[in-house]
Amino acid sequence: MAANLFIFNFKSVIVNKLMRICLFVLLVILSDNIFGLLLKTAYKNSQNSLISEIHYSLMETHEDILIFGSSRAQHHYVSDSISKITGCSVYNCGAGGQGLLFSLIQISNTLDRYVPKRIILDVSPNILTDQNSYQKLKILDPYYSSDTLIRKYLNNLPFERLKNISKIYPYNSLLYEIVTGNFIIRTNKSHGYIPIYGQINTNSLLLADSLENSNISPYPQFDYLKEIIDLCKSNEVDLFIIISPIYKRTFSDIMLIKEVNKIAQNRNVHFLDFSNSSLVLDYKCFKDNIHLNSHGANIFSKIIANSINSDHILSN
Amino acid sequence: MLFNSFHFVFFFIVTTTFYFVIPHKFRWVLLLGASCYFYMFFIPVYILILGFTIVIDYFAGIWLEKTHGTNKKWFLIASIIANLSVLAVFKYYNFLNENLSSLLNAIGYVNHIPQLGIILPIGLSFHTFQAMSYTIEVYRGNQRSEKNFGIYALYVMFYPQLVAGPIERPQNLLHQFYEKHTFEFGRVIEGLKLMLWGLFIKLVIADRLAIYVNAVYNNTSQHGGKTFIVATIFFAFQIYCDFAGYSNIAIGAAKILGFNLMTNFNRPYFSTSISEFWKRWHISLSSWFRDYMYISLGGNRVSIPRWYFNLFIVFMISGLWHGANWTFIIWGALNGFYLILAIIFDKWKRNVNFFLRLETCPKLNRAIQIVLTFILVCFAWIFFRANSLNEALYITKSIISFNGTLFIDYPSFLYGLGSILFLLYFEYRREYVSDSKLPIHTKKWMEEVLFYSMLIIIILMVGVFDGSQFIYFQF
Repeated sequence: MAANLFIFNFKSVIVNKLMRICLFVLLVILSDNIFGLLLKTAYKNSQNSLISEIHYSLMETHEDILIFGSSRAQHHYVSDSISKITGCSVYNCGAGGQGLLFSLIQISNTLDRYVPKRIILDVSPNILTDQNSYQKLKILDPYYSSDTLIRKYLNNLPFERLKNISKIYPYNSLLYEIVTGNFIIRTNKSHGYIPIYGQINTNSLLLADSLENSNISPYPQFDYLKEIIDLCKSNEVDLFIIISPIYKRTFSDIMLIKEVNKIAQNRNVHFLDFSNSSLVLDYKCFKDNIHLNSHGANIFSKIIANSINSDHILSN
Repeated sequence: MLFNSFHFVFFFIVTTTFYFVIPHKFRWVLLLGASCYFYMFFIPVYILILGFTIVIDYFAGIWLEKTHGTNKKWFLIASIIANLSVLAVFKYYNFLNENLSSLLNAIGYVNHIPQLGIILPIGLSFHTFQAMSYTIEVYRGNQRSEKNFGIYALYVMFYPQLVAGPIERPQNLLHQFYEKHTFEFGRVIEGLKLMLWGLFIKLVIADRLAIYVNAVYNNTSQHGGKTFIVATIFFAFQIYCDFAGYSNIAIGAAKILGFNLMTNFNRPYFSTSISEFWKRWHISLSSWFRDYMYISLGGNRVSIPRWYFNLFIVFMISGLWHGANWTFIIWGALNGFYLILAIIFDKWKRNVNFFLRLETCPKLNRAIQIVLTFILVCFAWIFFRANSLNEALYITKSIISFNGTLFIDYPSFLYGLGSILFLLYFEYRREYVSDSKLPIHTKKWMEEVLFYSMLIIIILMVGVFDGSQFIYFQF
């Protein structure tokens, strides 16, 4: 009887512990689902610029002219200026810190919905050697379950499928943007364009070559560029590949721009190279070596608008 | 493989399951195989280097035990030289060569000795010191030599603590490989809690703070004194959470398997003096230096100038252990200097306390001492984190002049401040309410269930998942 009592106590202790573990797991799953749902709703309602601009550029654009690229696109192309000269509606879909893969996804989603009259793709030499494109796409995790193309690229990241089992994970690192975006009313961002202010300090300029031994290795960014061109051609979109001004180009910049030019020529698309800034703008127009300030952006935007508006394409 | 990776999760589950399934006599074989696989996941060929030092020290241990007199000393010296040679070649060769070049250039000569293009083997400094502690303890007669080569290899390579400690002592660890460990539910749960807490402070606190710290310290010319102050405070918590996080995962993983590893951190930022700080920070390393270097040099049982010299040299070498850069040496030297100053001004400090009647307000006194110690430690961290000596001096100068505007990146700022306050709350509880390895210690199991599930939710929401490496891996 003592033995039976011992076995009974032992079993009840094990059952007790197992029940606590099951309760813990259940609590985690339940919390994950509840918070995931809350975050999903809050994300959709968020007026935060980062979230709403991404969402708009992926899902809601309808303008005649769309501009894509990195922060250089975002800060260099004044949508309203271009719109006035061309007489078309313009939206700047530039995304800071993003490369051509992000632009490819944006353009692909756009062309699924409609065909704009013109697409301007600002290509930055400094992002052409970037090898972290997939990592940077994590900002699109909220679209993982709903967008096939985004899911396809994000699955290149290790264990991404496993991580996305969690309903909270897609909103990882977006908590601040989601919360603030639900309390701050959206202000007009000039149709995607974000002005920056200040002037370059030419005395403390530090330039670094991103290429080793001036070899153009097959960086994946060039593949994305070719895909963008092919996608636009198959949808009969008038594509302009533009290199906007750089205050002082490095040797790597020149080599990379040559490669972009070669690709554009081979595929017969418009290529405008304004990177040699001295022909276009002086130092007062620059915030730093690779970004125009508001003053420079206004001047440059007028040049671009006139370039793409006429049959005589201006270039250096 | 990194502890904060899915690879490790699968590896750990498989290893632990097999560990408790197979008979006890084969478990060390499984652990040794798993440890080899774990180490080879980084750079496979480097296991040969580890193997070399293991063979040297295994035989050194046996010969040390058999030999007497002067020969015994020579065996120890040979073993230490072999270990330190590996460290010197892989970790310090390029640094020494660069300094030689600078020296020769200064007197008009050119250094033709080439630099080595090799990657530092992961955890080299840690397992080298662990191996050295074995031979020294055998020499001193405190430890019997290990006759089983496999068990000795496992002592050096035991995967939970292989790459970043705690640096164990043979008296604590070796015998545990012979003990039979059964699956104990309570112990396994405690281990899992430790691992989860370690993962939390690494992913949510350390890696979040790192975003701001890296933005500032990797672009020093763009920032001013006010920003450097904030970044340095953030770094103090970043390095603590990064390293303590790793240690917690290592200790928790070992605990699940039935092994007890030594505590490596004991709430160091609650220290009231630099001396106390070094009894609470990286305890396994500081006690290693104390037992094998400081005491061997005479400790404090020598003349006062010699005592100061011992302190200074031990801490300078401790700095050098961390990295082949003058910044680490200066960091170590600063800490040694602090200790010397504390000794010199001890009487003066007591007079000040008496004059200000701080003994009548022990809590206020303690708070002041904690803050002052923290400031001193943070100042030293500038040199630890800066990319070069020039940058460290530039940062110091900027802080003193308190110039520039504060760089505020709202998300990383808020995450950083919030996580530091969260950490300090639980550290405070552990310091003054219940002395526990875990953040909460309660008999109410529901409270624990809620707390740990909340940790997982927070990790999913704000944890950094890019698989960033632990800071101390580079040492």
